[in-house]
Amino acid sequence: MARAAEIRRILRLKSAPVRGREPATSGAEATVPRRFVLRLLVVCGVLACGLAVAVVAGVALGPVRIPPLEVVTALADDLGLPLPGDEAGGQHTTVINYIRLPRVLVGALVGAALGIAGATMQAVFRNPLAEPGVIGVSSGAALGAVAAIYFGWTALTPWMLPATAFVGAVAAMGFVFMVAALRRDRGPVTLLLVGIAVSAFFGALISVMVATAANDEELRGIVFWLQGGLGARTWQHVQLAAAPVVAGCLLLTVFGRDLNVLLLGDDGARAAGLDVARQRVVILGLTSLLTGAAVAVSGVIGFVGLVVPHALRLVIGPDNRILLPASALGGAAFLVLADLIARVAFSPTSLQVGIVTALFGAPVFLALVLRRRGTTGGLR
Amino acid sequence: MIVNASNVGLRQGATRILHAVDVAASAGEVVGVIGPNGAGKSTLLRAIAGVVIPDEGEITIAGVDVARARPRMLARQLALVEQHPVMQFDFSVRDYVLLGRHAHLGRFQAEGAADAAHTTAALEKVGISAFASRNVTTLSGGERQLVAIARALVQQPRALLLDEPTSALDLSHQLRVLELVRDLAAEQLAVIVVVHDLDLAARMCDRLVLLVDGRVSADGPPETVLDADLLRDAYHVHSVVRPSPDTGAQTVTALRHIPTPNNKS
Repeated sequence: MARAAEIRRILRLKSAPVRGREPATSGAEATVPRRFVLRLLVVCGVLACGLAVAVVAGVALGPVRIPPLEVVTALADDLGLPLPGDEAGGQHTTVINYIRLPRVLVGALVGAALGIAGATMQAVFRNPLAEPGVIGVSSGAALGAVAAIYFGWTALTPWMLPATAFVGAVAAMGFVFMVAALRRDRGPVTLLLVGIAVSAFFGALISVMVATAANDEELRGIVFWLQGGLGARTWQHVQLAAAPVVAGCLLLTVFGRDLNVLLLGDDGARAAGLDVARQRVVILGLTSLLTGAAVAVSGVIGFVGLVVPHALRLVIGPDNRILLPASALGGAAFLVLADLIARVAFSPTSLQVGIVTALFGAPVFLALVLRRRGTTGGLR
Repeated sequence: MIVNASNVGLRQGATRILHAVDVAASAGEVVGVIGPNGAGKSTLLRAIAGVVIPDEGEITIAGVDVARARPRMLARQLALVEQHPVMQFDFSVRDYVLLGRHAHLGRFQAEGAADAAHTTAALEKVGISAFASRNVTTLSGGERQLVAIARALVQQPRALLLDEPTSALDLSHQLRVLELVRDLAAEQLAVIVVVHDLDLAARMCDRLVLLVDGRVSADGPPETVLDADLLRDAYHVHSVVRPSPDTGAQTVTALRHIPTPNNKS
């Protein structure tokens, strides 16, 4: 008996060297990298198709119905790809190019930014409930935009609104980090608590501005912006959001494996070879830039960053190398569809898109909270 | 010498956690760190792992200065198994263990066949191949500990740090960890392990370091460190130490608590 165990032990030693020799690879193991690339391509391919369908639907549907084929033709034309049978200058070209398309594209960009930002924060905070607003970045952006309306800076140039929102987001992020750095502790709990305090403080400042707004028009402007929406977006907004969002999404995707390792906990990740403090600053910095750029052109739109990564995680698993690009594509499709529902559900009355995302998102959030009952929410 | 910590001092706020601590471990050696709660055992392990940087002294792993080494480089020399490994997201055991390959991969590099083979080997060595595809969040405490050890092994370290790997485990899992640690030492790994169970420490370790109030109060083979007088001063208990007729290792039986000004019974 003892002898059998001894032999087993020796065999085990031989089969698994700790250091030095490389273990022999089996046929099944050789397919591992190929399987990963395949999964990435399939997931992103499916979601990209979904996004394409959402964009066509978003452009086609509305008070004026446009045949999907005409939409596809016009989009192909915009991209410089004339399709066979192209009727140049279809009758809805103006509606497509100047009203629907910029709105849909801003929606896609904002959705992508919020989706990937949510997925990233959930990994950094190791908490599936984390959301872009959580560390105070959205509040900072909102304060910046509201200040622009309140002080009448928007009269100078319409660009003041997105610009101040952007500055507010970055300032909030800087503030959060300064406080965290003063405590010499950048752990998830500290960041969340500081984020809550920052949100409450900025929220109070916004309330002061709302309460003391000089006239009804100003007040309506502030409230409208705070609700979040994609109405009356132009190519100018597309232009402003496109560069930071696309660059931010690509850069964050590169950090996919770092985020996976971060899930081992701060100490575990550090011991596994990740420079935790530095990577977290870089990753959260990118995340807040993305969120700031999104909030700047659309106001505060909640729950996208929560619902999309979570739903995707249930289907494709927690691997951030796939989850991050998937959340960007999925977030884009989700927000374009949510905006479509907002426009056509009670036509001719159009809702703010934030109302639709909250209608979907709040129940999901509650379901998550209830499911995690009895745990610390992953925060120790 | 693989691990060499000399004269390590560490403060947390106004409290001194470690005073001039010396700990070393050579290849193939299992060094146990024992001592009462709050003696600084875990902090010492975290300092050696480079997770906290000491205020004084120097720690080197295979000649590399821990305070200056890049985490990636350090992780190829040394792996840490925490007392409570964080497992909150729905990774499979295999994928979780594969995360340990991080330090061996370039930024744009996906895991390859060799990484998968290391993972398979580690799962096999730890004896958890049977549940490679289970979700880590569903594992018991003992299984988690074994999975965390497998994750540490795929880092291909020269030194392995274990923080109370057996404290939450049942008898059979304790024995498995004990055998595993001996196996790893036989493969020339330097192992430093924090243990509370002194009997287990005696069986597992070649050398014991007794830490009391952040100071090394004894360092040597289990036969000399597990001494009734030393233990009385460290733990404030009267105890009997005698070799076990079955294993030959020292066993400690605590008899009576000694009331002290800070420690009334």
